[in-house]
Amino acid sequence: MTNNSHQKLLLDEIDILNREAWQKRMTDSNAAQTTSNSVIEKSRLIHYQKGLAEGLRTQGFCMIRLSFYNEAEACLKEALAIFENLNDTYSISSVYEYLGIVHRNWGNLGTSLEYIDKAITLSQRAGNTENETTHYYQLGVTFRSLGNYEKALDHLFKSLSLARSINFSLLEGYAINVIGSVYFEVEDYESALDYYQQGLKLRRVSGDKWGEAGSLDNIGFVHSKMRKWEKAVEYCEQGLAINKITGDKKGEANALVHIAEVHKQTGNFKQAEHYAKESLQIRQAVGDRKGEAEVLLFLSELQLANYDPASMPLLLEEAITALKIAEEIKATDLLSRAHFILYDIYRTGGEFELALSQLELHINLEKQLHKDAINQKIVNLQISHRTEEAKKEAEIFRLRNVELAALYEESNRQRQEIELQKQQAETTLSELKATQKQLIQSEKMASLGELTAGIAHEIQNPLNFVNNFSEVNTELIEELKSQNSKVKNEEQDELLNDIFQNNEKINHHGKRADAIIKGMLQHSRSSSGVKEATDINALCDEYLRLSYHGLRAKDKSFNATIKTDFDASIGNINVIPQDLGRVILNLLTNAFYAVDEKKKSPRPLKGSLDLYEPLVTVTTRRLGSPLGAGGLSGGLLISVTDNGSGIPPSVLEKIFQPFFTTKPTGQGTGLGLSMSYDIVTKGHNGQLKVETKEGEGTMFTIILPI
Amino acid sequence: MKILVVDDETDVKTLFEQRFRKEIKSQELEFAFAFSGEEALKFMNEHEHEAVLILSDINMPGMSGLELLRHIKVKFEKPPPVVMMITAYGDDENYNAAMKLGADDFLTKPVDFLALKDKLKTKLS
Repeated sequence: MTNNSHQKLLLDEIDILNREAWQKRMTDSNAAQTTSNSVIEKSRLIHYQKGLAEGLRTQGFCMIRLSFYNEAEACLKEALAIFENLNDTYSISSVYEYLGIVHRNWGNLGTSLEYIDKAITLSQRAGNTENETTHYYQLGVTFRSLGNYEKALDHLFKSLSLARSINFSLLEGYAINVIGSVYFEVEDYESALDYYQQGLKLRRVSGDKWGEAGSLDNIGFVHSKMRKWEKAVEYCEQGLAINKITGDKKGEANALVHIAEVHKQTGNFKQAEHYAKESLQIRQAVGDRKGEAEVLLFLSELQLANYDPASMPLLLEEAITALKIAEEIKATDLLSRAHFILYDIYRTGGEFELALSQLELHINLEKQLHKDAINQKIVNLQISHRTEEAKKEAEIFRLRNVELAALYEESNRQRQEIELQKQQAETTLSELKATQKQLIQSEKMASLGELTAGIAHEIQNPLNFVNNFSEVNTELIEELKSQNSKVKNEEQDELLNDIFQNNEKINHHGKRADAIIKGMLQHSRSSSGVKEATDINALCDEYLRLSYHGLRAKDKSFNATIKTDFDASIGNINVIPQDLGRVILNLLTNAFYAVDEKKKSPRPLKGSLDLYEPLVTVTTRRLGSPLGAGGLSGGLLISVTDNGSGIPPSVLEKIFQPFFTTKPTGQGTGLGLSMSYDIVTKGHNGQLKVETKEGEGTMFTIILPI
Repeated sequence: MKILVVDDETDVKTLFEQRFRKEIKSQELEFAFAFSGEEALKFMNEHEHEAVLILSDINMPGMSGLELLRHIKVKFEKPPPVVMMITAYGDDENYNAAMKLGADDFLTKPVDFLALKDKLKTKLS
């Protein structure tokens, strides 16, 4: 085996031991101390700097645990120098923290804060959350010692949440325990007990014996404050037993004092003195100055409660020692308490002047404490307490708000959707209403149409007889006349002429009725026409001539200007030419009638109206073509416009109903527009629309799909 | 030669007798009348060899003109009688049905008697 590999093995061994010691430093400080001691020796032997420093660091921590603060500082300072050389920030931050603890125990709270601050800066920079968690914990403890409970709780809760985030249950237990202590110090014993018990549970789970003992002692002490003496002693004794095993001197001394306190409260002075003296010995041995002074004052109080003039010198000595220590460590609260006890001692001993001076010193210190600390402590704690409550509440509210926000969001979305649906429903409803109105209208027209057809058929047969018999009558009369011409009979001739004339009338009116019936039947009969490619412009032109000349033939005075505006791009469209022709003829007949009526109507007003020029315009458009209106693509539009009198609103709704006519009896059947409507809508799937302005004219528009 | 006119309107008899009075007088045409499809069939059974031409209305209560047409075309094969249908409903449906059943002609009311006269004279000559 070469030197190098041997060396390597040694270094590996040291590293392993160091890791072991470091891992159990909190849960088994004694074992950690033994291991680190041997590591330090081995490392010094082979000059293994890293191993040495890590050993010293663990050793320093263990010394703190054992309350050997001078030794702890020596170890830590040596370790710090090496780590600084090695530039090992992880270890440096831990060492800073421990130095902070050492100085806190010495009462150098400012220095303590400085070290811990440095540690936090380093760990945050390195992103070392585990170390950061313990730093904040220690910072909280130092602030608690400073009496700044608000800051103490801030840091402790920060540490707690960090510990929880990385599952660092050991430190979670410590943080909870100290939070309990803060509540304890302002006499909120219920809260203190709650936190102590939480801490105990955690420490038991993590196997932290030191911590478990501390928790038990704390719980016992809270019980004594709550005057539950039996429980108090029970818990403190449990803690004490564990302290003895783990060698936690400080914890042992604390537990002893707490038990002594219970005995004092219950009037068991001898037991109280016994426990207190045991605690005093331990504290003196570990150099816990503050603790020593506290026990001394406790013993003084105990003797005063059970005063024996023979013990006066000892009593004075104890109290003065405590006073000196308090002065030395600048513990104002202790000093104040010491002055009060001395006042009590001198008073009891009859030395009133000395007693008075001690009381004055005590009162002055109390004033200072009250002003600087106690009030501050209470206020701070109340604030912290409130802050904590507020935080809890805020979290509850936050969660509730998240829920509410989600609910609000959801209800908002639903509301919008409902609004949208409502609008859609309203639109649909109004559309439906319009459709319904239209349907009712067309239904009326359809049933009228059917009724018309039925009536027409029923009338047709008797009417045929009337016409036929009147025709036969005419023949018979003619025959009779020709027979009569042989035998002259003037009287008979006259009678025959009358009968002949009457028969003519019967025939005339019969034919008239027959024409109406024919129209009605045409109306109802489904068209037998076939759609064929038709030149729409030519069709319009043809019917325009037909209607115009037809009218002119009947009435020579009739005249109107005709304008055509044909879209040449229309070409041939598939329509039923006879049917569409009838529609155009109908519309034109109506248009000519309208302009003629207007021309013939008397005009009360002079001026422009006298220059009335009857005008009928026929327009064709292919929708979507350059001439046609945009929008509808591929449609045919034919419009017939007149500048007649227009249609009064009162009759506008009825114009498409069968038998509706404004023409004098005998001039119109009232079937023209009704039939046209059917031909356009049913026969050609198109639309027949009317636009009119009373006194200005009317425009009928046929729109056919192509 | 007999022409059987079938119509539920009894006045048809008077009308035809007057319209064709000259032809009847000169015995150019001879008319018989039935006022229902059933009556027409009964007449034809009784005068099997007399009726040559049948003029029938379509819309009649009971047996319709089309049913009558079907019966005649099935039952009376020789000699094939000429059947002319007359109706007020000159629609495609009736026309097609009549033609399918073998009608020889299809006239719509009101009847143009001058045209009918020509037709009868042509058919019977």
